[in-house]
Amino acid sequence: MIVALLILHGLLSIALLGALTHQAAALWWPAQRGGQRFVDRFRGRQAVVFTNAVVVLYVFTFVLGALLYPSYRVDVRVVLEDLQVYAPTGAFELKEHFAALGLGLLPAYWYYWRQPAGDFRWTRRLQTAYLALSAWYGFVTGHVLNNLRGLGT
Amino acid sequence: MIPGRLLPPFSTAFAICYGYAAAVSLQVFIYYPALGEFTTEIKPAADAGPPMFWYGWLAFGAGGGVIAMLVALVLPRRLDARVWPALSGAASFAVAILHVYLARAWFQQ
Repeated sequence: MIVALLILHGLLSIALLGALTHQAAALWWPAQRGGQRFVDRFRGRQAVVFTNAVVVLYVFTFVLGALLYPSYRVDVRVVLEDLQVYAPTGAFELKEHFAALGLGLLPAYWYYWRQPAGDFRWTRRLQTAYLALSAWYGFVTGHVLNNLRGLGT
Repeated sequence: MIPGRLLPPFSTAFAICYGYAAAVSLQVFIYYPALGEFTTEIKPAADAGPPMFWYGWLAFGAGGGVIAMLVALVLPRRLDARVWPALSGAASFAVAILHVYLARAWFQQ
């Protein structure tokens, strides 16, 4: 059951990364008009269409992570501490903080993406950048930790 | 239905309250995963296993956010325009950077 939840958590996080990375690229590095290359098309998405998907995926990914967390605390972190491997534990501590702050940011993110674009361009950029960076950090850290000592092993 | 203008104050206050709670270990409750038990008391690790404070910090942050929404609800609407709209994003970044600094001990052992 734990392994199934972990796989679902990982799959949802990949979908979240896709939505957030498209949105962040469209905001911070908008495509030139008429560009036909892969990168131009990647940057050329209409950023607003990702908002609801980001909110839903972030919440579901977060909830699954919160459900898995007790197993990590008992089965993984204790072992790493016994082995005196502290850096991965610290990296996971940061993952939990970044993810929690991202969850708290979602209401404001959702609100400002429903306002006229011109008034809140930098607000949207800042919020989307935070969510994208926290999602990428969480994904990489979770992946590395699972390689070090996976749940259910 | 919650008026949309109350959502940014929630996010800003959540970041500040969560960051503060996690920095000083001020949790609303503690969860002991080995026992499957929520409590407000710290128990000996030998009996109860490792504690989890994170859920308690989330609850503290959410509580702070709700209080900020109530405060924003009673304040005049004209004050909304005086608040920097990017404050919620900036607060999240600032608290995240603070916690990177606080977590440095994990990487120095």
